[in-house]
Amino acid sequence: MSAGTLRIALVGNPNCGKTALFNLLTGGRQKVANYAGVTVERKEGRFVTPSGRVLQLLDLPGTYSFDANSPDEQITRDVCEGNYPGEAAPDLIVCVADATNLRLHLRFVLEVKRLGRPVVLALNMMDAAKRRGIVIDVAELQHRLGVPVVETVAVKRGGAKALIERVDGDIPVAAPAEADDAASRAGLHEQVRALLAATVTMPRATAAIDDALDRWALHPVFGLGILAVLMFLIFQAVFSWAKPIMDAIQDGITALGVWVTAALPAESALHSLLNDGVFAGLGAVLVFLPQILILFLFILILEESGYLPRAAFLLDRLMFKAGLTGRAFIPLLSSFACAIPGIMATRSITDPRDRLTTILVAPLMTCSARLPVYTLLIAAFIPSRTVWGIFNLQGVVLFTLYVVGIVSALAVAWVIKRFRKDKSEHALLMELPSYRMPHVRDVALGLWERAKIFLKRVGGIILALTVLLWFLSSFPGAPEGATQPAIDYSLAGRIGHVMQYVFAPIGFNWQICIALIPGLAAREVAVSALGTVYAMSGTDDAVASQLGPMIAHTWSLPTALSLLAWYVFAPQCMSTLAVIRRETNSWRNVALTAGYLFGLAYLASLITYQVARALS
Amino acid sequence: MSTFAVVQAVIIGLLVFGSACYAFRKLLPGVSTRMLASASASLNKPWRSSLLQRLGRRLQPKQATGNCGDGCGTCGTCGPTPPKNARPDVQPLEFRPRQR
Repeated sequence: MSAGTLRIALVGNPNCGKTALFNLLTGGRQKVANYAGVTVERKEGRFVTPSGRVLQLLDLPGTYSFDANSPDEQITRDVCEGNYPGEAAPDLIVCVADATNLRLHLRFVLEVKRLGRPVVLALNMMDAAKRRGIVIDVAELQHRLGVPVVETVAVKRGGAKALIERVDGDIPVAAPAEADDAASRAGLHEQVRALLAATVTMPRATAAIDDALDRWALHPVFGLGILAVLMFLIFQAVFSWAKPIMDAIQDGITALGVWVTAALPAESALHSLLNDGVFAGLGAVLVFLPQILILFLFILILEESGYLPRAAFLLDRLMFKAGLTGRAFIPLLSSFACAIPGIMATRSITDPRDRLTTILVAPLMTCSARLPVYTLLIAAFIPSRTVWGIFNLQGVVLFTLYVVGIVSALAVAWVIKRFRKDKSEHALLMELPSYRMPHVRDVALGLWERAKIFLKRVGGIILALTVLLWFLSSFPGAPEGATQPAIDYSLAGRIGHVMQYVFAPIGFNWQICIALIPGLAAREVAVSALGTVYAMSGTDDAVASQLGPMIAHTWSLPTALSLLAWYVFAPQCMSTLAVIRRETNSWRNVALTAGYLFGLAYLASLITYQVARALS
Repeated sequence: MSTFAVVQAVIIGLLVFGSACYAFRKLLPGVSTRMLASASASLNKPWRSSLLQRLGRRLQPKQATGNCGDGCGTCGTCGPTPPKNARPDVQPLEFRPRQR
C-alpha cells in the first residue's frame, strides 16, 4: 500500500446498497441484488478522487450488529476492529444506511461510531426515500450523530458525488471509543428512537405499494400459486423463445465448420480435429447459450425486484419441515446458477449444522450447467406439442426436472434431520426489502456477465477437454482390416466399453460412458463429448453435425430418460466437491456428498430405465 | 513424410499438450501450483544458466486468489487478490457443543 492510499471500509446492514456503491465508485461489477446476504466475502477495489487521492475500498458483508453470529458477519467485525489477520484497520469507515429504513439501520451506525474510528454516514437510496415522502434533516442528523452525513443514490450515475467530495477532503475526527457491553447496547434502541424523532419525518413505516403487493405475494394460498405460475412460465419461455436463435447459432457453426475445414484434406487428422472435435463438440454446447440467457433474464429480474425473499418467506414452513432453515433459501437459489456461489452463500447461516445440511443438498439444485444436457435430451425425445391448451410439453418436462431436483433436496435434508442429534428450532428472521423496478442496465450487465462466463468456459475448459477427448478417441488408430469405426479401437472407446459393464443396467451405451468422464470437469462438457464421440463414430456428417437428431435416432427412450434421471443427481462437478472440501474442512463430507449423489443417481436411473423399458 | 504431415503432427501435438496443461491447471490447481513452484525453485538456482533461471522465474506460480471455488471460474463471482499474509477467505465449519 502506498503512503498516500486511504483505506476505506464500506459497512452497513444487509441490502443497504454497499456493493452497488462499491461498483459505482470502483467501476467494479460485483453481484448486486435486492435481498440480504449477496456479499459474503470481503471485496477490494480502488479508485482515484478528483484531487488525485488513491482510495482502497473494501466492500464487506452486511451485518445488523457487531455481535456477529455467522461467518460472513465475523469478517466485517474483524476488519472494522482491526483484528483481521494481515490487514490493518481501515482509515475511514463509510457506514451505508438505507434512507427508507433508518429505524433499523441507525442502530448499527451507532455501533460503528462507538469503535472510535473516523466514520462517514452515507444515506443511500435517497431517491426512494424522497418518493415515499420521507424527509430527513441531514444537518440535524449530522449534528446529533457527530459524524459527517452525505446523501447517495448508488444505482444512479453520479449518485456518489457527495461521498466522493467528502472522502476527498480531510478525514473526519473520530469520536472517542466507547465500551461495548450489554448495558450500553441496550441503550442503542433508545438513542435510535430519539434520533428518528428529531431528524426524520415518515408518512408511514412501509411503502403503500409494498403492502398492496405483499397482500397477494405473501398470501398463504395465492402467494404459493403466484410462485408456482412464475416458475412455470420461466421454463416455458426457456423453450419457446430460444428456438429461433438456437437454430441460427447451429446453422452459423455448421457453416463456419465447413468454411474453416474446406482447405484441408478430408481424411486428415487436422480435418477430423476441427470438424469432429472442435466444431461438433463446442458447437453442441454453444447452441444452448440463448436458453441459459433466457433463464438468467428471469432470475435477474426476480433478484432485482425484491420478490425472492418473499418466496423464501412463503417456503419457510416447507423448508423447516424438511429440516432446512429459512436462511437456506438464498444459498439454494444461488445454486440454480452454480452450486459454488450457493455453497459459499451458506456462510450467512449461523448454525453449523444447518449450514452443513444446506451445503450437502446444494448440488441437487439444478445448476445452469445441467441445462444443456436437459434441453438436448428433451428436444430430442419429447415432442414439441401443446398440452392443456397453452403449455409446451417440453417446457413442462423441464419444469418437472427442476421440481424433482428441489423435492430431492428437501427429501435429503429431511433424512439428514432424522440423523441429527440436535433438533432445536431456529426461527427465520428475514428482512423483506421494498419492491423495485429492475434496472435495465443492471439486468443487461448481469446477462452480459453470464454470457461471458459461459463463453469463457466454452473457449477454456470445454475446448481443452474436447481436444483431449478427440485425441483419446483417435489414437491408437484402427488395425488393418478393422470392421468397426476407428473410435471403437481407440483408448476412449476401450474405456467406454469397460465402463459399460457398470452402466449397462441403467441403459447407458459406451458413448454415454465416455461422455461421463470429461463431464466430471463440468456437466455441460458431457454434451460436447457426446458431439465429438458421435462425430468420430463415422456416421453420416449431416446427421452427426446435429447431435439432437443423432441421439434421437440411436438411443431408446428409456436410455434418454435414464440419463435425465442421472443428471438430476449426478455428482459430476469436481469444482463443487473442491468447494465443499474447503468450506467444511473435511474430506469426509466430500466423500459423503459424492457417495450419496452417485448412489441416488444410479438408483434413480436404474428405476427409470427398467420401468420405462417395461412400459415401452 | 510430407511437409503437410509434419506440420499437422506439430500443430496437433501442440494443441493436445496445451490442452492437457490447461486442463491440469484448471482441474488440479493445488497440485499444479506445487509442481510449478518446485520446478521454478529447482531452475532458479545461482549456478544455472541465465536462460534456465529466467525460465524458473517465469514458471513461478502467481499467488492464488483464494477467494472463490478452487480454479472453477464458473460463477464469475471471484473477488480480487487478498493482501499478503491475509488469512484465507475461507470459513470452514466448526462444531461446538450448544450452550444450555
